[in-house]
Amino acid sequence: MNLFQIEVYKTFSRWRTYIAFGFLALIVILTEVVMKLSAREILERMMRSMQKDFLIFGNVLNGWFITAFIMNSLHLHIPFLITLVAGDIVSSEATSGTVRLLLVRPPSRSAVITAKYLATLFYTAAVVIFLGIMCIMLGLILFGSGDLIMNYATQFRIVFIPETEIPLRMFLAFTAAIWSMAVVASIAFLFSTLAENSIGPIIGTMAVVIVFFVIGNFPFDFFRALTPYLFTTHMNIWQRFLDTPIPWRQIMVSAAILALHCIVLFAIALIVYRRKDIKS
Amino acid sequence: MRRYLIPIIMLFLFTAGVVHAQENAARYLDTYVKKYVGLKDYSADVLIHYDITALKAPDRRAKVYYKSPDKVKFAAKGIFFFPKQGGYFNPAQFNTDNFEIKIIDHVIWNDRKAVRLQLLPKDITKSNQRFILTIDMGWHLIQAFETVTSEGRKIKAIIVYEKFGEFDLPTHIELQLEDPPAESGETKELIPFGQHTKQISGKVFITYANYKVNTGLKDEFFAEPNPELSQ
Repeated sequence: MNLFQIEVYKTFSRWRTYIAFGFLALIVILTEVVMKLSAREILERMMRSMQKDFLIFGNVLNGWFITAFIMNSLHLHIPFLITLVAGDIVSSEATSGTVRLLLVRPPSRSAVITAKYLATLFYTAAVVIFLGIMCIMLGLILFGSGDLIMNYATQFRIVFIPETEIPLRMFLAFTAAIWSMAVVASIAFLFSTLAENSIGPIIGTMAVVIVFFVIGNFPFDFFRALTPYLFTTHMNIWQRFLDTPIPWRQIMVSAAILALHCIVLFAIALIVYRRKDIKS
Repeated sequence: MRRYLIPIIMLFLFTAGVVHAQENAARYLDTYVKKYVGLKDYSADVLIHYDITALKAPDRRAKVYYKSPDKVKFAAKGIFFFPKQGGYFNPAQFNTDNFEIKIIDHVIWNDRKAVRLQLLPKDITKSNQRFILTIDMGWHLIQAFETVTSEGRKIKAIIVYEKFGEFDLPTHIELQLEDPPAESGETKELIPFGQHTKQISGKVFITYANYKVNTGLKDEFFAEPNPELSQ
C-alpha cells in the first residue's frame, strides 16, 4: 500500500467518517418522501408565477428536479460534513500522539502531508458522489424521469433542460460541486495542520465559510465590491451547468479561482507542516 | 309641450343611435361565430417557440385536440408550457350572448377593412377582463386579439390563417405578453435586497399544422389525462 492508500484506509476506518454519509442518506430519504407526499403543494408554490399565464403539462416534479432541489438546499450544509474529516485528518495525529511515530518513518513530511491532502480530497469527492447517487437513484425511483425545470426564484427565471441533456449536465454539476467543496476541505486541512485538536479546525472552517457567505450576501455596495473575490461566490459553480446556455466563461473563471484557492491553501499547509515542531 | 319636444326627439335619436351601434357591433362578432358553427372539433400539430426572458426553454412540440364549445386537450412529449390566453383557436369563446360589445373604430389591417370591437364579459366574476378584437370585415376573421386580465396583464395576439377544408384555421399565432404598466411615481413592487422584479414578458410564437377537422372526437377523450406524445 502506498501512503495515499494508507491514509484513505485510516480515514475510512474511523466511524466519524460515516457521519456525513449517514446524515446525507437520512436527509435525502426524508426530503424525497416528504416531497412525494406533498408534491402538489410544492408544484403549486414553484410554478405559481408561470401558472398565471401558462398551462403546464408533463412530469415537472421528477427525479432530476428533486436532485437539483436537494443540491440547492444542501450546498450550504455539506461543507460542515466535509470539515468533520478534513479538519481532523492531520490534527488527529497530534491528538492521538501518533505524529512522531508517523514522521520518523522514511517517507518525507511532504509526502505524508500530500497523501493526507489527497485522502481529504478523495473523501470530499466520495461525499458529493454519494449525495448525487442517493438523490438521483431514489428520485428516479420515486418520481420518474423527465425534463428538468430549474426555478431560479430570486432572479425570477425558469430554465428548461431537455431530458436527453440532463445526465451529462448532472455529471458536470456534481463534478463542479466536488471542485467547490475541495476549497472547503482545503481550508479545514490547513487549519488541521495548524491545530493540535479537531474541534478548532472544524469550527474555524465553518466560521470562515459562514462569514464569507454573509459578506457575499449583504446588500451594501462595499460588500458587493468584495463579492467577486470571495470563494463562496464561486461555490455555486455547479448551478451554472444547469443553466441555458451554459455560461462556460463564468465557469472557467470560477473553476480557476477555486483551484487557485486549493493550491495556495495546500501550499501553506505544506510549508507549515514541514516546519512543524513535533518534539515539544 | 313644445319645450319638451326637442329633448324627447334628441333622446330618441341618441337612444336609437346607441341601439343601432350595439346591434352593428354584435353583428360583426355574430357573423364570425356563425362562420364556425360547423366546426365541431379539430386536432393539429403544434410547434411553440418561446422568446421570454424569464423562461429559457427550447421549442416544444405537441398535439392539440379541441371540441366545441370549450374542450381542449394537449398531448406533449415531456414538459410543455402553453399560453392560457389566446394560444389555441376557439371560435365559440366569443359567443355574443356572453359579452357587452362596442365598436371602437374602423381600421385598415393588412390593406383590408377591419373593425375593432371591445368585449366586456357579462359574467361579473370576469368583469375585470376585457377583450379587443380586430375583425376582418370581408373575411369575418379575428386578425388580432388583445386582452387585459384581471391582474392587469396585457396579452396581444396576431393570427395568420389558412384554409383547411371549408374553414379558415390559424397556422401562426404570435402572442405578446406585457407587464401591467406602473403608474407614474409608483414602483411595481418593493424589491428587497437586490431581488429582481417578478415579471413574465416576451413573445410566444405558435405554429399549427396538419389539421384534422370534424373527426368526431368524443367527450370521454377529453376526460382522460393528457397523453404523452410519441415522437
